[in-house]
Parts: sequence; structure tokens; C-alpha cells
Amino acid sequence: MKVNVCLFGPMRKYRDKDKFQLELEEGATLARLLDHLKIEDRIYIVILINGRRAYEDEPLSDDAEVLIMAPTGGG
Amino acid sequence: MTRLHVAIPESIDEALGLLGKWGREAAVIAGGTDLVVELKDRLKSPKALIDIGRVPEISGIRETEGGDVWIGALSTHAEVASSTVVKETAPVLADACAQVGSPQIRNRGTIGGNISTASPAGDTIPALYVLEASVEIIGPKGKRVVPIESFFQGPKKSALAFDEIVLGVKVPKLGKEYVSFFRKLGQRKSLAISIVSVAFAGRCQEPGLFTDVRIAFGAVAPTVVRARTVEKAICNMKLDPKSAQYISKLAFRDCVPITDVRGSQGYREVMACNLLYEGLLEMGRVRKA
Amino acid sequence: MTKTEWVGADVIRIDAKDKVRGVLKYMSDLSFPNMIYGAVLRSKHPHALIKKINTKRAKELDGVVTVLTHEDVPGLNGFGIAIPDQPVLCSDKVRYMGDAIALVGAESKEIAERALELIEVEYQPLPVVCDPEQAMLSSSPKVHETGNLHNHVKIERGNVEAAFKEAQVVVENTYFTPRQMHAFLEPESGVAAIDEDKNITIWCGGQHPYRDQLQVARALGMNPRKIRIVNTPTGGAFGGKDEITVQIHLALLVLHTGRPAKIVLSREESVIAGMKRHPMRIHMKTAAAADGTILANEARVVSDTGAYASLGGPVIGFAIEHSCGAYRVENVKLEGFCVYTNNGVAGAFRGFGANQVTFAVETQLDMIAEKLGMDKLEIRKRNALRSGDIAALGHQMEASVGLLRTLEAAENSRLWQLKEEFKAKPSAPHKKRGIGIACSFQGCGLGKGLPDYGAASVELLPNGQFAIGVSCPEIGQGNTTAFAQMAADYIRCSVDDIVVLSGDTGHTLDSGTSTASRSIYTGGNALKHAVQNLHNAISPIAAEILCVPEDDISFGHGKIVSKSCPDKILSFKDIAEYITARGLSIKSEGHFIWPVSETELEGYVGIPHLLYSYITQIALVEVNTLTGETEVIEAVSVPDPGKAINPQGVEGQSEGGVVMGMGYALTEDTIIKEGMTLTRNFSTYILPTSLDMPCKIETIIAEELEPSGPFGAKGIGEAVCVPISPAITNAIHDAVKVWIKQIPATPERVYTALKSREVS
Ligand SMILES: Cc1cc2nc3c(=O)[nH]c(=O)nc-3n(C[C@H](O)[C@H](O)[C@H](O)COP(=O)(O)OP(=O)(O)OC[C@H]3O[C@@H](n4cnc5c(N)ncnc54)[C@H](O)[C@@H]3O)c2cc1C
Repeated sequence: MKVNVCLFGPMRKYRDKDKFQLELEEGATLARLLDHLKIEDRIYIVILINGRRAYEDEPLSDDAEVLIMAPTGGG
Repeated sequence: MTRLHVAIPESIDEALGLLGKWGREAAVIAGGTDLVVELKDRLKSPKALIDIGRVPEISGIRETEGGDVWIGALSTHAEVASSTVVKETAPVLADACAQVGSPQIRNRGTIGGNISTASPAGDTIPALYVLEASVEIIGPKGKRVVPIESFFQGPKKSALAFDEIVLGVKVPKLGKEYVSFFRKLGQRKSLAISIVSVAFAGRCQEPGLFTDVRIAFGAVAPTVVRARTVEKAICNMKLDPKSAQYISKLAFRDCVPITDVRGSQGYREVMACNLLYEGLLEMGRVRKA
Repeated sequence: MTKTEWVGADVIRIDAKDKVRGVLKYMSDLSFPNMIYGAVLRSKHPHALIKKINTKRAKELDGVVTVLTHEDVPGLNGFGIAIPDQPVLCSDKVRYMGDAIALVGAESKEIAERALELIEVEYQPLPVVCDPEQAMLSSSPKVHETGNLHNHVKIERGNVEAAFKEAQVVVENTYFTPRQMHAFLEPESGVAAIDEDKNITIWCGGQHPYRDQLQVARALGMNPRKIRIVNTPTGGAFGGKDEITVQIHLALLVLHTGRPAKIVLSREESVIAGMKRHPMRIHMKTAAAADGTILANEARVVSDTGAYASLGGPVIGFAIEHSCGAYRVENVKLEGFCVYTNNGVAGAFRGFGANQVTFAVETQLDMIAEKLGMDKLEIRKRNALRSGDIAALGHQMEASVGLLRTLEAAENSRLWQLKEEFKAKPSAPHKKRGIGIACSFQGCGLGKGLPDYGAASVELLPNGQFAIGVSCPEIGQGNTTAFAQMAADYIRCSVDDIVVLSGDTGHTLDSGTSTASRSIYTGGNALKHAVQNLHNAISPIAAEILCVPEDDISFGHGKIVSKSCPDKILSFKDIAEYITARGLSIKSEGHFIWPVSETELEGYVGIPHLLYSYITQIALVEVNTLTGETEVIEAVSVPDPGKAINPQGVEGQSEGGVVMGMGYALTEDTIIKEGMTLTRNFSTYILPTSLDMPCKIETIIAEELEPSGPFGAKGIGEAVCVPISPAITNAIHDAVKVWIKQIPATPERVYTALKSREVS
């Protein structure tokens, strides 16, 4: 299956592009995607799948939009 | 854990007995608005608290046979501020008490506590200075009376011995021809410790002409001070706004302030002068220019 | 838009009764059986190496359950929203007096405190870094190995030098702003508990439960899902509880003892260890043409973040974004430095960097107006940003821009119209009166570069009422009431039929922070989607019951009606009973991602913003020329919050904001000398009291509806405390002709300025 990935802020360091498509095996979880991207800090991270907050153990579906960012705050 | 004994005597004798028993390990507590802060900051760690709140001999405000006003040590600032005799015969003290802390503090804090703490910024003290009040003290050897100015010996130091209790203050009445005021400058309008405070009393029989002038400042020296230089200068002068401003500048002569978080030495010196000047102006007894 | 029934009405706060009656339990009111009390050992030095920590004697004390140090932190020994540079428990170095070194859990608070005294720490003191300018020099001792400059922002557009040459007036000044304290009523505090499966729940004042969850998980090296955070109700926050406060310490206590734990900081501890507003030194040079048009603005801003970063990086970015005010300025040269020192810690605080620079730029504008003989309100109108304009950072104002509307309403206010009369009658001849005006704008949301997202849930309850969930905590600002109002209008039911769940990772979806003037806009938009999904779920069921086609169903006034057959009516309760009988339930979710500015500033995250709230404020002051005391007699506050979901709530924010901004202008400062806090409680940290408040604060709401907002709403929690500060200092100038360049304008500072004016 294909997922669309978008990296933000400090997460951009894991790829030369911040928007790309990835081919993953059917039924892959978010953890699999994070492994693939070699993302180190796996706890302090915010991931949205199709706009919804998700945790590592959740499965991905074909054509999912995955946004990966570091939590932050601001005014 | 450390234990704190609390005793609530019902008479002055019982209170003195307890003080004798615990000695320097005891602390007298009235309203607690100074003491509790000190306990919390561990500036004091007594083994026993002697709560004098129910001692009848030290409460009440009344006129004495000698024509003075007697204010029991337990009188709260709120009680003094609203007392008819005080308002009529020593208004400067009522004004001072009305400017202490906030309503909560005025409902708990007592005049006896204010004196006993002996802070140079204690707000009732300048008023008691210009009223030339005296402090009635009782101890194991009996009663003694100390003129208010001799009571204070330095910041938080007074003539009160550890085994003594303040009974009350005796305040000579100000005659009808006297005018007076109390002003304090704080960092805000309530719950403010004085940066400088001033109390004034003077006999004024015609506008601008003062005799028997008494002026005292708080928070500008190790104790509250009488400003005798400026007192003399004002006496028998015909004060108009210009001369009042000029003469007020002598106020700093009797002040030796320090710098702290609330204000610098220089500012305090000038404020002593300006508060006096402002008070003289606003009293409305200075001659029109 | 259809007419609203609840939005725009002064609906009584849903938490009002319980708060007023004292029934509501805040986090520090909670207790559990068998609970231990935690206390934190803080540093004895502002800057030192730790040579040795010995907890033996403390552990031996009767009643002590545990004494923890850095060795007991299972995960990353650090926290920080942006970078985890603050140790949970220090191991080798302390960088400010609030640094935590050890954590005691004991049978009582007193025993815990006693145990702290028995912990022996050997320090090797280091030179204290207290001046941010000097901290930037290469010769300065380093607070962190990485150097003392935490963040540097530099933005240039156009040609300031050329503009300075052609300008009619140029004003150049240096401004200083204080270390304001949030002074929330409830100090940092909370309780925690752990179950047999090592699931931890933490009830603690905070502003973003889901981020707290991640920070706790990181320090514990645990799966975040095993940690539940509850932040509602929080007893005041103002940004000061955005960062971790006691959450990780609570988690460590329950993890190591298996018992529930409680930590409540004393006020003194809160003052020393807690967040503050960044003190800034701002050098600003501003040029204007003869007609008052601002031609150029140059600013150099140095911000003291203290020992740790927290949100110091985003704050300096935000300050730079707002450093030209809400005005059109074509030529800018703006540079900001966020610097580490040993002066406490600074972080998020209502206004987020706008307060400091607004004080500077609004004073500059008054100086220019005076030099040109221009009216103070006119010069602001002339330069005010309008929709479609290019703002200082080069980004276009794409969303609703209400500054002119606020200026016009301010101009028509009674105070401005009658200003000469108000000024003419001071209470004594030596007192002088003046009126000042100032404006500002406030970016809403987290800004460009990091998606700002939100979510909400809506559930039809068996009794026909609705439970809505938004995780942005109720920190006292009233967002839960606004959520209920918006939900009621979206659902078309009564606000009384809405139950609000808030600030709980166990029961609400992640909706982000209660900061950045964002929770109404985010929560409202998420609720809108959630209710659409709810209606979509209810429609087929209603159609089934009424035997009509699904597209014949409409929602109105607490009813579900057939469009073709208006006497076919169902209540939400009918639906609830129908589904409950069949063992079904209806719960829907809505998700929302903020729109962002088209403009991207290479290398920066969080700036610029797309959406701003706008505000104009006016102050009438009386200055005592003999003492320097300033009294604010009246104030007018004209915010543009977009749609005011709850006008009374906006007024409440506005009045509180005016007083907070007044404290900033006149009295408040946490004074730190050589790393030591001198103002440790409210007897020396001078908050305004009720007697210091203006006798009258008039709030005029100037709504400039935002098309992307729920019902047209933006946000207003922060802007309300910003321009009032320079409005007050400008009023002081109007009264006594001295410019205030350092706040707070204490009586001593004002008096000193008055005297130096007399001399010169
Ligand atoms: C928030 C706050 C604001 C304040 N604002 C002001 C202010 O504006 N102006 C001002 O002047 N003060 C102020 N104070 C200080 C305090 O309230 C006053 O000094 C008050 O009068 C103390 O009285 P008390 O009865 O509470 O004293 P306590 O705290 O009970 O006692 C104070 C000290 O006096 C001793 N003592 C008390 N009574 C006697 C007695 N009869 N005989 C012998 N010893 C005695 C006690 O042992 C103790 O050492 C403030 C205090 C607080 C907490």
C-alpha cells in the first residue's frame, strides 16, 4: 500500500524531502513507518493519520495522509 | 516532629505565669499577622504560643479619669479606626489604623502587636509619636509606663522584655484647636508596607500659623523618628504653599533611610519631604498664596 | 449563517455555580487514601557543579517513603517543550535557584520538608551569568555547553538606511521590560496514582494534556498510552503551566512507591522555580514621513530566557513578528536574541513576546506623533494594517483585520470624546492627568511551520443530552462554556443539554493547547465537523423512525423534523431511546487543521501567523508630581475577537487583561540579583489589588468576523493584556511630559524621570 508522508519542523532532518510517498506492506503499523524513516525519538512525537492523532501501534491504510512533527507550543 | 504548645490564658496573671514558665521559648500571639509570617519563614521557632486573645485586661478603648484615651493592646486596627473617641480626640491614629494592610488584616491585627513588632514601618507608630502616647507594660515586677519614643530601640528591637506584655497605650487627647494627618506612600493602595509614612499634629489657631508642631516619619530610620528640625521651622511661621514647600525640605534632616526592594535611600529622603508638603497642602490649613 | 440561539449570548458560565460556591475541586484539593506527599530539593546556588549528593540521612528519617535523585529517572532526564534541556533531577550541574536535585516522598508534608534538610549536596559554585548582553560575549561563562545564545532571529526587508535618510522624523530609544509573574491563584500542584498494570494518572494544572503525556512518557521511558493526564480544572495558568511543572515528579513518586502522591508548591517555591515573562532589552529606531506614515523600523531585541529554553525560542520569534505593531511598515531590520542566563526561567506568558515589543513600538509612535504635531489616534489610523496589506515580515494579511474597526470604536468612546474634560479636573493641583492610547495585534494559533490541529467528539447520551469533548483545558478563561454554546448551536439543541468534557487524555481527543488564543477557534471548528458527523449519523435513524427519506430530515430547535411533513417530529431523546433499546450508540469525531500563511520564512518555525486578533486600548491616568504615583482612573478596551461567542466572557477577559497589563506597566517585577530572587512572595512582588484597579473599565467589542472561524470567531485571551501597558505609559507622558522607557513605571521611576526633566 501507499502512504503519503509529510515531515514538519525538526522532523525534516530524517529525509531530504518533507513531502513524499512511501510503499509499505499491507497491514503495516505506524511503528513500521517510523522504523523505515529511522526516526529516533519515538516517544516525543506527534503523528496525525488523516488528521487524527495516532500512536505507534496503530495500523496504516492505503492512501493515508501521515503528518509527523515534534510537539510544540506557541503564541 | 516538633510540637507547638498553645495556651489560651483567661487573665493577665495567667498569661504572665505562662510567660514565666516558658520563658524565652514562648511567643505571645495576638492577631498573629506578624508572628505567623515569622513562624512560616522560620525567623522564630518557639515551643509555645501564648494566645492572649481572651485576656480581658488588655481589650477595650476608653477614656481614663485623667482625661486620656486608653487603648487596650488587643484592639484591632478596625476597632481603633472606627472608634468614636479616637476619631474625635486622636484622629491621626484612626487615620493610620485605617490605612494598615487590608480589611482582613485590620480585622485581625492589633495595635499591641503593631507596637511590639517594633517595625520602623509600623503604621500606628508615627501617629502615636505625634500624640506623645505612652506604652503600658506589665511584667513579673509589675506595671511600668514607657513614653512611646523610648519604647523603640532599633528595627524589631524594643524596651519590652521577653517576660512582659503590653497592656495598652495611653493617648493624651488632642485639643480642638489641633489639626493632624497621617499619610503613607506604599507600592500600591492596599496591602502595602510603607516606603515612607508621616504623621503630623499641630495647634493651628489661624490659617497658616502653627504652634506645638509634632511630626514623625516611618520607614526612614532604624525606628520611627520625630523630625524636630522641621517641627521647629514650622512653628510660628505663617505657612503659605510656597513656604510650606520650602520648609518641608528640611524633613530629611532627621531621616537616615536605607535602600531596599521598596525604594532607594535618595527617593525615601525626598519622599519624606514631599509627603509632609502634600499633607500640609491637603489639610487645607495653609494660607492661600 | 443562520441565526444563533446561544452563540453571541451572555450564557452563564457552566462552572460558575461550583466555583462561586467553593464546591469545585481543583487539583490541589484532591486526595487519596494512603497518599504520600512530595517535596523537591531546590538548588542552593544559581550556578554550580554538583560534586556529590547524599540522601542517606533523609532516607533514614521516620516517615520518609522514598528519596529520589537523577539515578531514579528511568527515561530521559530532561524536559522542555522545544528541547529537553531542563533536568528532571539535576545530576552534575545546577543553572538556577529553582533547579530540582532530589525528590522526597513522605507520610506528611512536614516530614517531607524536614527530609529535604537532611539531604547533603556538595556544590562547586560557578560564576553567575546575570546579564544577557554579557552572556552573549565569548568570554562569558557558559550556562549550557552549547553556548548562551539559544535562538537568533533576523529579518530584513526593504532598505531601512535609505528610509532613515528620507524621513521627516527618526526616533531611537532603548526600552526595558520586567520579569512579570503569572501569579495564578493555584500554585503548581497536582496528585497522581498508579494501578496494578502500572498505568499512571496525573491530575495536575496544565495547558496541554497530550503534550504533558509525551513529556512524562519521555522521562519515564514509557509508552505514552499508559499515562493519563487530567488538566481540567486548572486554577489559573496564563502560560505559566504550559511547560511541565510537577507532572514528572509526581509520576516518579508513584512509579517508585506504588502509592498515590501529591505535590503542592508553596508560593515562594513557585516564585523561584516557576516560569516568568521574558525580560527584554529593546533598542528601536523608527522613521516616519511628514504625514505620519511609518517608513522604517529597526529593532534589536535581547530576551533573557534564564536557565532553560522552554518556549524562549518561539517567544523571541513572536516578539520579532509583532515588533512593528499592527502597522504597515515596508522597510524593516529586526533582530532578536534569546539568551541563557542564571536568572530563573522564562517561558510562555499571555501575550507571548508581544507585550514587550508593543510597549516599545507604541511609545515610538507617540513620540513621532508628538514631533509631527499629529493626533495620537490619527497616526495609528494612518498606519493601521488593512485586509490584503503586507505586514512587517512581508506576509499578506489574508484573514480578517479589525484594527481600524477597533480604532473607530475607541475614537467614539466616551473617554476619548470627552478627553479634555476628563483631563481638566485632577483631584489636586499637584496631580496631573493624561490620556494614552495604544494598539496591538496578536497572532492566533501556533503559526507557520508546524501544523496546528484539533479534534472534538460529540456523543448522544441515553437521556437525549450530548457529551462534547475538547481536550484544551479550562484554565479559567471560560472556553468550556463557549464550547457548549457553539455545540448547542451546531447541534440545534439547548445549551443546558450539553455536558462538556475537557482537558483529559482519557476522555477527550487531542485538541492541542489552551494557549496562543487558539482554543475557541480550534475547538469550535473541530466541533463543527464533529456535529456534521453526528447529524449524518442521526439522520438515517430519524428517517427510519419517521418513515421518510434521509434527505427529508432537518434539525432545528431541539427537534428533528421532516421537511415535507412538518408534523413528523422527533426529539433527540426519542433518538437516544431508540438506539439505546437496540444496544447502539452515536459518538462522532471531528478533526481540524489550521490554515496557515502562504509566506514561509526560511529557517523559522511558528512565524508568521495567518490569523490575528486586534485591539485598541485607552487609559486615563492621574500622576502625583510629588510622589511619582500613577493611578489609572479609567480604561477603555476595544478588542476584535472575531465573533464574541460569549460577550460577557470577552468582557471578563478584557477587564482581567487590563488589570494584568496595568500591573506590568506600573508595579510588577520579579527582581533577581546575582541569580537570587529578591521578591519571593506577594508582599514584595506587587500585584494590583482591587483598590488599585481603575474605577471603570469599559469594554467595547468590535467584531470583525473571520470567515474561517467557528461563527466568525478568532481568539482574545491574550491581546487584552497587551496595549494597555503602553496606553498607560503614554498617558503618563500626556500628563507630565516624561517618556517612560522602562517598566514597571514605579513611583520612584516616574518621580526620578520628572526630576531629570526639571533639570534638563
Ligand atoms: C498582609 C499583611 C499586611 C500588613 N500591612 C501592614 C500595614 O500596612 N501597616 C502595618 O503597620 N503593619 C502591617 N502588617 C503587619 C501587622 O499586621 C501589624 O503589625 C499588626 O498590627 C500586628 O498585630 P498582631 O496582633 O497581628 O500581632 P501578632 O502577630 O500577634 O504579634 C506580633 C508580635 O508582637 C508580639 N505581641 C503581640 N501582642 C503583644 C502584647 N500585647 N504584648 C507583648 N507582645 C505582643 C508577638 O509576640 C509578636 O512578636 C501587615 C501584615 C500582613 C500579614
